[in-house]
Amino acid sequence: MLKLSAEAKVGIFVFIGLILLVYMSLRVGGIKFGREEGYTLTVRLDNASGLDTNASVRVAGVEVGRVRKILLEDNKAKLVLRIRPEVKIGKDFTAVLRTSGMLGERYLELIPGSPNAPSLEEGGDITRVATYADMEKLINLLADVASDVKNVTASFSSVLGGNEGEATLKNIVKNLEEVTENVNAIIKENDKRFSTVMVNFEDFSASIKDASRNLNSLIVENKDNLKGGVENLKNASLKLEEAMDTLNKIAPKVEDTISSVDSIAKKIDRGEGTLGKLINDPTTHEILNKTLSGINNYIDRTERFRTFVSYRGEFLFDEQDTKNYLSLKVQPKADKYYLFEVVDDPRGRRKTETVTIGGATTSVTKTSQEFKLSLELAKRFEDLAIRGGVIESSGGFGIDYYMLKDRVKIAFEAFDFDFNKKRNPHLKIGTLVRLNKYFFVTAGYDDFISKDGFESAYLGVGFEFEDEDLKYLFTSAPSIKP
Amino acid sequence: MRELFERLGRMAVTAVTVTGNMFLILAQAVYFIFIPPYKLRNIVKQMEFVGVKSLFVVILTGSFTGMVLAMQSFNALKRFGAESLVGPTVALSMARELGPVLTALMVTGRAGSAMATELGTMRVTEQIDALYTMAINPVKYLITPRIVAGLSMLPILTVITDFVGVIGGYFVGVTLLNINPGVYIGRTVDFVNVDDIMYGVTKSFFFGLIITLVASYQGFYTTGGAEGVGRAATNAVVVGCVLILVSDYILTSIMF
Amino acid sequence: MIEIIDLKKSFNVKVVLDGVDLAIEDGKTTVIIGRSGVGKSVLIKHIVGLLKPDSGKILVDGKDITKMGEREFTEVLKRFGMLFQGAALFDSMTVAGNVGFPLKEHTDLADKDIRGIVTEKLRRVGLVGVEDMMPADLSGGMKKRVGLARAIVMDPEIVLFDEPTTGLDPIMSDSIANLMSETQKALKTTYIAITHDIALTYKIADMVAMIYEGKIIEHGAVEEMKKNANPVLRQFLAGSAQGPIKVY
Ligand SMILES: Nc1ncnc2c1ncn2[C@@H]1O[C@H](COP(=O)(O)OP(=O)(O)OP(=O)(O)O)[C@@H](O)[C@H]1O
Ligand SMILES: [Mg+2]
Repeated sequence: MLKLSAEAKVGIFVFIGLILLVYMSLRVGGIKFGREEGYTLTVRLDNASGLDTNASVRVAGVEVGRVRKILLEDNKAKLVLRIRPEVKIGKDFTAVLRTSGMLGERYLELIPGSPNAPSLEEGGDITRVATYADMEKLINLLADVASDVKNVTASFSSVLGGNEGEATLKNIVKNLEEVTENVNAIIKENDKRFSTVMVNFEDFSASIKDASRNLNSLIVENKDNLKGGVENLKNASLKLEEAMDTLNKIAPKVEDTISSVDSIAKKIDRGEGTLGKLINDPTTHEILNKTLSGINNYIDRTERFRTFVSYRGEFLFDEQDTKNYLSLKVQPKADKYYLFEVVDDPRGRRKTETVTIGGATTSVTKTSQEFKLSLELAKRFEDLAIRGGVIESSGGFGIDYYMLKDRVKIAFEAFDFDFNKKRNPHLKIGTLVRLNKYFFVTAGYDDFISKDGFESAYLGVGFEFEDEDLKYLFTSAPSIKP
Repeated sequence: MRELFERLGRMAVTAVTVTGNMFLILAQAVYFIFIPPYKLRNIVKQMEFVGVKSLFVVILTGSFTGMVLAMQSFNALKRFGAESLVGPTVALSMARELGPVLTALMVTGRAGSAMATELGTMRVTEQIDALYTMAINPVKYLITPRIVAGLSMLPILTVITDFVGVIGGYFVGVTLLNINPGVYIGRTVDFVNVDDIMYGVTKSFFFGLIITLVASYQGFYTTGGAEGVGRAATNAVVVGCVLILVSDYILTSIMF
Repeated sequence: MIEIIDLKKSFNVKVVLDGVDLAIEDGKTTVIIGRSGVGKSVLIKHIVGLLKPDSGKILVDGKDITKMGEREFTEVLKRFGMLFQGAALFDSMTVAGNVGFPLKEHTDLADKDIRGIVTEKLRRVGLVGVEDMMPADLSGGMKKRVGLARAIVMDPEIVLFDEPTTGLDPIMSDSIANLMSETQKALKTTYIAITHDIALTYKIADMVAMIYEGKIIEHGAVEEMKKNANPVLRQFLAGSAQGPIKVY
C-alpha cells in the first residue's frame, strides 16, 4: 500500500476542499472574478418590501440580472440592477415586484413592451412600474372593497328606502309577481296567435328566398353597376374612417364630454332629488370608483372582471324630448353580464289605476315623474344574447343580436306587461352602432304597440367607458363634483 | 454569608483570569504566526490531525444530516405542495448553519478533546517545562501550529460537509422521495448563492480558531495529574461547544 | 556563577522555600540533598525560570534572571541543560527525536550529523539501538537515561539533574555517576544535581548543600560535609530514622 506523508495527505485534502468550493460556487452561479459583467439600470418603486439585494431580475421568468443595491431616494425605493450584457431592456419595459414559489422569494420581473422600442443604456432608468396584488395587499383591498360595498348599499338603501324609493321597489316586486303569476296565462291565451305568427314567419322566409333568388339574378345582370357601387362604398368607408379618427382625437379631450355629463347631471339634479343626490354625491363616485378598481385589481390576471359605465340619450321624435339611460354593466365572464340601469323617461312611469268617478269605475293609465330602474341578467350564446329581469321598473326580457364583431347590435325588448290587458306591453326594437371604443349611436322604435300614444321613433348617442377609463375620468374631472 | 461572597469573588476572579489568559495565549500564538522560523512540519502535522483525520467523521455526519434534512423538510414541504424546495432547504441549511456548526462540533469532539489531552499530558509530565528549558517557546511550538491548523482546516472541512450534505439530501430526495433530479438541482442552484457558502465558510474560520484556542488553553494550563488531563479534555469539549454555539449566534446576528 | 539570594516561595499557604541563600561555583558539581518534599525540585525550577520567586534574587553571572525579559532569558537558557525528575521525554517523538531535539531546534546541523551525535550520547548513557523506539516503550530507568542524554546533548555550560539515578539499578547508577564525573571534568561544566543517593553524592560531588525547612542549613565541600557535626546533616547522611528530623 502506498504510504502517504502527512504533507501529501494535507495537500490532497486542501486541494479537494478548494475544488469543491470552486465547483459549488460556480454551480450556484455567478462567482465573478474581477469586474462584474453587464450594465447597470435603475428603477424606482413605491415599495420594495421583501426584496433583498441579489434578488434576481427576470424577463419572461428568465434571470437576466440581479438587484445590486436597494437605496431610499425621495421616499421611494431606488433599485440598482445589474443586467447581463447580452440582454436588451427596452425603454418601455415595465418593472413589477413579484413573488415566486410558496416561500415567497421576491424578484423583479421586467415585462417587455413593444419589440422595436429603443434599448436602455448603462445607467438608464426603467420608468414604467406596475404593482401586482400580493397577498397582504389583497387582504387590505378586500376589506376596503367590503366597506365600499357597504357604503354603496347604504347609499342605495337611502335612495330606495325613501317614500318614493319604497314605492318604486314595491312596484318592481309587484310587477315581477304579476309576471310570474300570469306568464302561463299569457302563453295559453296567445297560443293561437303564436302559431299564426309562426305560419306568417314561414311565409315570410319563403318570400325572402324568392327575393334572394331575384337578387341573385339582379346581381348577375348589374355586375358593372355593382362594382361602381362597391367603389363608392369603399370611398364612403374611408371617409368614415377619417371621421372616426377625428372622433378618436376628440375622445381624449374629456373636458367636453365631462361638461355634457355635467349638464345632464345638473338636469338630473334639478329633476329628481334623491337620485340626483346619488349621482352627484362625490362620495358615491369615489366609493364606486374604489370598489370597481378594487375588484378589478383583485381579479386582475385571472379572468378579467370587466365593468362598464355608459350613458345614452335617445331623442324621441314624437315626444320631442330625450330619454336618458345611465347604466352600469358588470361582466364577470365574457358570456355573462349584469346590467344596472337608471332610466329617465320623459313620458314618466305608467300605472293603470282603477278610478271611480261618480259611481262609474274606469281604469286610467297615469304617468308619474320618476326614475325607472333596470336590473338585468344577460347570457350570451355566440352572437345572440338573452337577458331578463327588471326592465324599466317592471318585469321583462330582451334579445340582442350582435354583428360585425360586436360593432352593431340589434336589440329587442319587452316589458311592462299589463295582464289586465288595459294597455299593451312596452316593446322596443332598435339598433346600436359603435363608432369607436367609447361612442355609439342608436336608432329604433320605442313602445311601438302603445295604446296610449307613446310610440315613437328615436335617435340617440351615447358613450361607454370601461372602469380603467372611468378611473381616469373621476380623478381628473373635478367639475363633476358640486 | 461571607463564604458565599468569597466564593463568588473567587469565581469572578477565575473567570477574568481565564478570559485574560486565553486572550494572552491567543495574542502570543497569533504573534508567533508571523515570527520565523516557521515550523512547517508541526503545522502540517496538526493540519493532518485536525483536517485529514476528521474527514471520515465529518463526511459521515454531513451526509446523514443532509439525508435527514431532506426527509424532514420533505414531510413539512409536502403539506404545501412545495416538494421542489427540499433541495434549497437542504443546501441552504447546510451552507449557512449546519455545515459550519456541525463540522465544528464534530471536530471539537474529535480533535479538540485529543488536543487538550495531549497538551495536558505534556504539561503534567513536564514536557512543556522541558521545552521551555530548551529555550523553545511552548506557545510558538505547540499552540501556534494548532491554531493555524484550525483556521485553515475548518473551512475546508465545512465545504466538504456542505457538499456531502447536499449529496446526501439529493440521494434521499431523488431516489427515495422521487423528486425530479433536474428540479432538485435546479431549485438548489436557484436559491443558493455564493454568498451563502462564503457565509458558512467565514463562520468556520472563527469556529476553527475557537476549537483550537480552547483546547490548547485547557491543555496548556492543566494541573492535577491524570485527573486534570481528563478534566482538560472534558472542558475543551464543553467550553468549545458552548462557545461555538454562542459565537454562531453572535456571528449570525453580525453578518445579517 | 549562580547566586541564589534570600529566595522565598510559597504555594498558597504552604511555605516551601523560606529564604534560600546559595552560591554555586562554576566548573564544579554541586549536589543538593534534602528530604523528599523539602523543595529541591522547586529550587532548581527557579534557576531555570520555570517558577517565579515570591521574593529574592537569582543571579547568573551577576544578572538577575527573575528580572530579565523573555528574549534575554532565552539566551541564558541556551546555556542550560536540564534533566527532569520524570525525564519529561516528548512522547510524540522517538528516542532519537527527543535527544536530537535541542540540536535540531538550535543548530544548523544536518539530520545525519544529529543522528551521529545522538547515537554517541545514547551509547554513553548505556543505550544502544533504542533510537527509533518511542518513549512509552521504555522502562523508567531507560527514560531517565534518555533524558540525561538529551540534557547533555548540546554540551551546555550548566546542567541541572533532578535525581539522575533514581529508578536505576546500582550498577547502572554507578556507571551514570562515572559518566557524570567524566564529562564534568572533561568539559569543566557546572553541574547541579539533586539526589537522595548518598553513594552518588560522594562519587560526583565537589560541593554539597543541604536544604532543610526551607533553608540551606549546610553548604560546603564534600570532605568538610563528611565531618560536619550538624545533627540534621549527620542523620541524613547516615540515613537514620533516629534524630532531629521528624518522620511524620
Ligand atoms: N506547583 C506546585 N503547587 C503546589 N505545591 C507544590 C508545587 N510544586 C511543589 N509543591 C510543593 O512543594 C513542596 C516541595 O516539592 P518538591 O517537588 O520541590 O520536593 P522535592 O524536594 O523535589 O521532593 P522529591 O525528592 O520527592 O522530589 C512539596 O510539598 C510540594 O507539595
Ligand atoms: Mg523532586
